[in-house]
Amino acid sequence: MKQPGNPSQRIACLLFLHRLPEPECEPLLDALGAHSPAVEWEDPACYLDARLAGDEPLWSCTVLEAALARASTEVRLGLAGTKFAAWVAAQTAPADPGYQLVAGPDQAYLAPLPIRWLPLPAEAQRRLRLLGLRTIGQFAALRERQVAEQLGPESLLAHRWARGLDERPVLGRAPQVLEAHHEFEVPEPRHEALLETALRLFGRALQGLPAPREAWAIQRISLTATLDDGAVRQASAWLGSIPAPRAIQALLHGLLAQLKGNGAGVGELGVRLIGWKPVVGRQLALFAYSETRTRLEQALEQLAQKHTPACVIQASTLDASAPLPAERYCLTEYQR
Amino acid sequence: MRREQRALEQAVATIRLHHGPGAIRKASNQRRATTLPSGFPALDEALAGGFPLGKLGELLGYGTAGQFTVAASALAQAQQAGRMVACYVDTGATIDLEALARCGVRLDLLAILRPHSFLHALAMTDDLLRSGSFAAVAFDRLDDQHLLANPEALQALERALRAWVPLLSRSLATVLLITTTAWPEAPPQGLPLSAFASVRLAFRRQAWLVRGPRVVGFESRVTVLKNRQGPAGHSITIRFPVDAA
Repeated sequence: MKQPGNPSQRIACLLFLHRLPEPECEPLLDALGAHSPAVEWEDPACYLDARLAGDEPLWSCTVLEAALARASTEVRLGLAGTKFAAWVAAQTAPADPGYQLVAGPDQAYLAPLPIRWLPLPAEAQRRLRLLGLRTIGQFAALRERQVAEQLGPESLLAHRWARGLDERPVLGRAPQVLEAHHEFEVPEPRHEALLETALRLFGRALQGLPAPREAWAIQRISLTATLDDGAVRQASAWLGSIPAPRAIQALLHGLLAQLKGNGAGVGELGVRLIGWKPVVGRQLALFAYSETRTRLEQALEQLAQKHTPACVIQASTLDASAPLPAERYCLTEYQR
Repeated sequence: MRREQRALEQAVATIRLHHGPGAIRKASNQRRATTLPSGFPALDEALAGGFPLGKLGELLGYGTAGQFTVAASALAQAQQAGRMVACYVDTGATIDLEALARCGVRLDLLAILRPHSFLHALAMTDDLLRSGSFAAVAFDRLDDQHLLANPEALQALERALRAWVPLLSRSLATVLLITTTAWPEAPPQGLPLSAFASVRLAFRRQAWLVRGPRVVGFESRVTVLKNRQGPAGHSITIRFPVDAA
């Protein structure tokens, strides 16, 4: 079993004082990856494996600077031997210098702190106060059996953490990238042909998503082009919440325009879909890009032109699991 | 490629372009699907496979009897077969997206039409079918009393149905019309659908299904009044669950 305050384990907790906007997360995690072998995102905090930090104050300053450069909110850093102690250290870190390092054993650091930092329900905390227990150290001194009897078995986890026994490791992010490439026999200069290829590559890359594919939402799309002079160019963009097929086409059109610039021929084109997370129904339209969908849009457009757009309605899924029926689906007038 | 074969393919493509994808077909040993499953195996069995492709079907009933569920389920089946597009003509602006989704309808491959009037609904459906882009259309709904009291609407419906039949046979789309009638097993005479529909089903709710104080569904008797692809007269009982939102 790991001993409390094992000095071989060092974990940094980067705490964001306000919720980070979604588009900021991925570049931030990429940037933090340069300072740590494993970075784990656990909203609204981020844990870094700091075993290789070396000079810890200097490393902490560097990580804070990297985070502040990419995050639109204030950040605090706590560094300790366990995740829980690092989180508490980040919560209690002073604004200047913005970090707090726990040098000794975690149990000793946590002992004088109030029990409100423990992940215990309000009722359990109230009962502890009635028993005269005010600090984490006093709680840690209780026997496991007493804790289970008084506060229920669900409180044993907090009891272990109070004793500096938090075995949760930092789980590094798996590389979430789906790729598809196409090499042209002759460098292709025509924008329309490149756009069509990019759309097909996009569809091919989507095939790699785990089933059911509709349950995932892609975060970022990146386009790589090898030009006929050998130069490799890259452009990327964030996907919105409900990108319609037309929006994807427009996005790829814009990215291709950035890549090609002066109208050079493209020898190889690649599409990368970076990062996905389970959000049911958010990007259903991504999977409907097909001839069928195009035919539907054409037919709807004709109907909307001949009759009125108010008579042609499209239904969409907002969040099929939302508690209120009105938040699950919506009807919108057809818009080109 | 031989010249004759190229000429043949060109001729086939031209005919399809001018007269629709179902106008000409290549002979093949492989049997093509001729029916659209309803999503209810017992009903499919009674209909000898389901609703015929490229034909009109009528679902008669009154109140909650399962016509909407069967129509929505058939739309879902059409979407699943080759990711085709379905359409729902919502004349009363009463569409229930939750219920459609529960029946398996993919909302991103569904068009909804909300016409101003009955005549407008017929005109929009006509344009819809002429586009040839839809595999299945649910028309919700016709009211027999309104039609019988309104000769102009009745004539317009007859004209529309007369135009739709050849359109459907070319595009192989299936149109399901939901008709409200107090006596589904003996619908009033004089409605043109009795002549144009290939399949007519009468829905009659027989009982509510309750579990404790909650209504969990209903049971309906479905009678095949007309079936051009098989025997008519069968009656089956279907249980429709009502999922709590």
